[in-house]
Amino acid sequence: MTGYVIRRLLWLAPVLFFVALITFVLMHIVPGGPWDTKGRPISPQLERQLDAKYGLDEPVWRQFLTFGWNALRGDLGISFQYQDRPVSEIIREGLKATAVLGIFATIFALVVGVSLGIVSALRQNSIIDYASVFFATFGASTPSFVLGILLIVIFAVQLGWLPVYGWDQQWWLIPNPKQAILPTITLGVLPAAYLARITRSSVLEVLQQDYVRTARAKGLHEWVVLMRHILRNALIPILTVSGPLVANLVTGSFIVETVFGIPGIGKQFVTSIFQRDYGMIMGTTLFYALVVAMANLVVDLLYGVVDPRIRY
Amino acid sequence: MRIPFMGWRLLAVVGLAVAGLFVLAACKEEKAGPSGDLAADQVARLWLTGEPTSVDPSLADFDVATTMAKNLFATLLRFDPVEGVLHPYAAEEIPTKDNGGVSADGLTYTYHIREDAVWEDGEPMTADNFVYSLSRLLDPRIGSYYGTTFYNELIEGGTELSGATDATEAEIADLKDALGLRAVDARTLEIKLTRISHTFNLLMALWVTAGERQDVIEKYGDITNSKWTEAGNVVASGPFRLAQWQHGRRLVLEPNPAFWDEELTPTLTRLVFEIIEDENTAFSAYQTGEVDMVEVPLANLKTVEADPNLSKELVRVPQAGTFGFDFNHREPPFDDVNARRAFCAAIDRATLVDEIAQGRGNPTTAWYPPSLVPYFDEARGAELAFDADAAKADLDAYGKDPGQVKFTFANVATNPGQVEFLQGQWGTNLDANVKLDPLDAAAFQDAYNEGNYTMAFVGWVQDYSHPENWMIIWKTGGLLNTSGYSNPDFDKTVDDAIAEEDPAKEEALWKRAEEILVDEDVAMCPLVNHETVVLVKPYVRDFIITGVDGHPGDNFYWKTAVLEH
Repeated sequence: MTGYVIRRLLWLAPVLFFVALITFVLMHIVPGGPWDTKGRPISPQLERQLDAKYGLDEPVWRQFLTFGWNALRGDLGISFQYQDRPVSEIIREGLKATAVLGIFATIFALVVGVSLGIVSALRQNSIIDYASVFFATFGASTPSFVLGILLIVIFAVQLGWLPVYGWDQQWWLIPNPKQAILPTITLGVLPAAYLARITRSSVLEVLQQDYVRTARAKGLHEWVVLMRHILRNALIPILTVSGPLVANLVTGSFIVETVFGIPGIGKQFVTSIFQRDYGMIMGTTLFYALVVAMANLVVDLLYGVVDPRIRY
Repeated sequence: MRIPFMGWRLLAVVGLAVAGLFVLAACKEEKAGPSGDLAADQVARLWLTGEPTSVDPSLADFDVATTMAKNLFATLLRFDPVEGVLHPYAAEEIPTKDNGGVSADGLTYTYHIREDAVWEDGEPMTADNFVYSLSRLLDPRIGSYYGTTFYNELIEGGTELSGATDATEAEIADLKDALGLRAVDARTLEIKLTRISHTFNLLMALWVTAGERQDVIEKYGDITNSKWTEAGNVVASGPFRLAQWQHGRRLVLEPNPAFWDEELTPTLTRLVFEIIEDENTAFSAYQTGEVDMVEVPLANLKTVEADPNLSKELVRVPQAGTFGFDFNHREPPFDDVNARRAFCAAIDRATLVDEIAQGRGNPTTAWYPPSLVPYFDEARGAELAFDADAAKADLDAYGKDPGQVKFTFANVATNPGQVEFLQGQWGTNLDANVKLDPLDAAAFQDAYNEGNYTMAFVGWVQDYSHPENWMIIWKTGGLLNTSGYSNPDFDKTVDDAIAEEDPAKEEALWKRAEEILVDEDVAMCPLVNHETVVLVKPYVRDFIITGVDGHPGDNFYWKTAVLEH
């Protein structure tokens, strides 16, 4: 097990290297550079100054090596667009809001999605099942900017129950609960819908298994059958999709953060691409790659916990 | 960032300005100053379209950033936001030849700093603060847009310094010593210019020339460090101090307790800038009263105008900006002036503004904006005004088939709708076949800079209110001139105007320059003067939205007060 973890961690190095390389190459191939975002043409003299300031006057391969060397030492460079703020500082600050929102949305998605899935599988073709299928279809097909604005118009503008926007940490990293409700729902609905569907089909499949019938035949309480025999076996596919899902949620959403005015890292990631902010693009991409890789590792380890047949 | 505003505004975002002076009507009615009807709680909550890129005055080149820099740091001169005229600020008076502030040859300017001018921490403002900030502005390691665009060629030694990208630290120090900047004594600043300039005092009123503290900036690192701009580290010299900067969320300004200019001292106790990137969210926040000011999203403009309450809170602010499209002069069909005139006269600007832009903006055929008095001429570009028959006649005069023509634009915001309208106009009025070529914003700018287009959107918003700012850019090889337009007659007229000492002749030359550019050469095709449309709560008084030296919606907050509500 320890050996497996170490091997996986070692694999991270080449993965991150190629992610960085591909991002770097694509970033330089795309037409338009970081100085094409001033809204005006700039003088050749200013271009030379900026190139020198941010090291773009070096040969491209050396720029890449410099980035790699600095990244190894934990220095992700500086942002071009937010003049000279360190990228790692921007990520750290943005993450305070993004990660907390992501965790809220994950909890929402797991609780709502998995329970809906189980209930609708156990009561197949009942009203609850249809309602859950409707929810899954609705959640999967409503874009988050539509849902976000709809929620704002209903709950903030019309009813006046909740604030329109904002994310102010009240206690440590925990925000004002009123501010958190709408973005959590907006961000969590899609994964909840997805999880509900996966859970439903996974549980349905397990229900057909002989060992479930055996368990029931032994006279076990239905609750024990559900928790120990059905759910545990149905968890594998749920876990498989949860990994990337969680990684996706905690790294933020451009749309949800923009619509609700949340000072997160998700919108920085997208904005940096439009702004050709090379420093931010490299820093955030590398960070995302790391989060996704770690989430997958955690999922793989959890397989072993859930299913004793899986051994590393 | 500023993604929300690209498009017509894309080419403009940088230094808007102008003359679209505007003061709420309430202020005119009320002759008395702040009176008993002010709320006890003087807090204004304003909408910011995005995180400021910096509050460093030397680096601020986007609207939200310049807004902050201006409220935090004092310049030697300033513009009155209402009248638009120059006033002394940290300087005792505006230097002129009459008061001895400008030397007889017009090349040396001397500014005397007010004795009572101090920083937030009580330190006096000194000539050294300005020598430091101006030499930092020109420092190649900073990469300042304004420094390297407007000041480097004007201040003695500036070109050498800003061009020294490969210099060592010692060489840069020498080049800085060689600059035409000198602290004669603690309160006297002397600046030597490379040439006569009629606009230097205007430039000295822009936020980028604000004094800076070497000890404050370099306490946190080298001259490019950003750490000094964080709340708690900034030492202000303007009407406000930076009380809080929660990145991506909000900035809070509070009155600077040490501020020394009584006239500019604010009555507000707090100015909260809420950062909301989505304009629809901002509009909702205005409706629920979470912010006191917001720009109206284009899609909501007609609804707001029809609403009995909201329409009363609507404020229209003209921008000193002109938008239109550019022709590539290097290749057919637009190497021919008749083809250019035909394509320009074929556009029904009134319909473009009313139907496509929802009534936002004003049609124009001139390059100078109406606020540029006395240079603006209403009759300018008369032959470019919409006239389908004249356009057809011009195309006949061209005599050839223009073939398929490409129109390049940034595929953001409201651009696609505008462009489809233009395409329709050319199709209907000229039977011309125009192909649309949408690009990502940065890719568009890249194509524009390289002159890689047949037709493309172009726009300019002024940095300071003077025709010089509108014309130098169109000279052969000028900043905005990527289209290959070149007319020695035009270039000479501009150079003559810059050097002309006699004001009457200077005025005539600037007018002549625009006549050549627009009427005779149709170098590009002006379409619209843009405007900003905002909603302001009725309890916010004297909310000035101007930008005499800056941007649309570029604001001065010292006059603002909150009424009881």
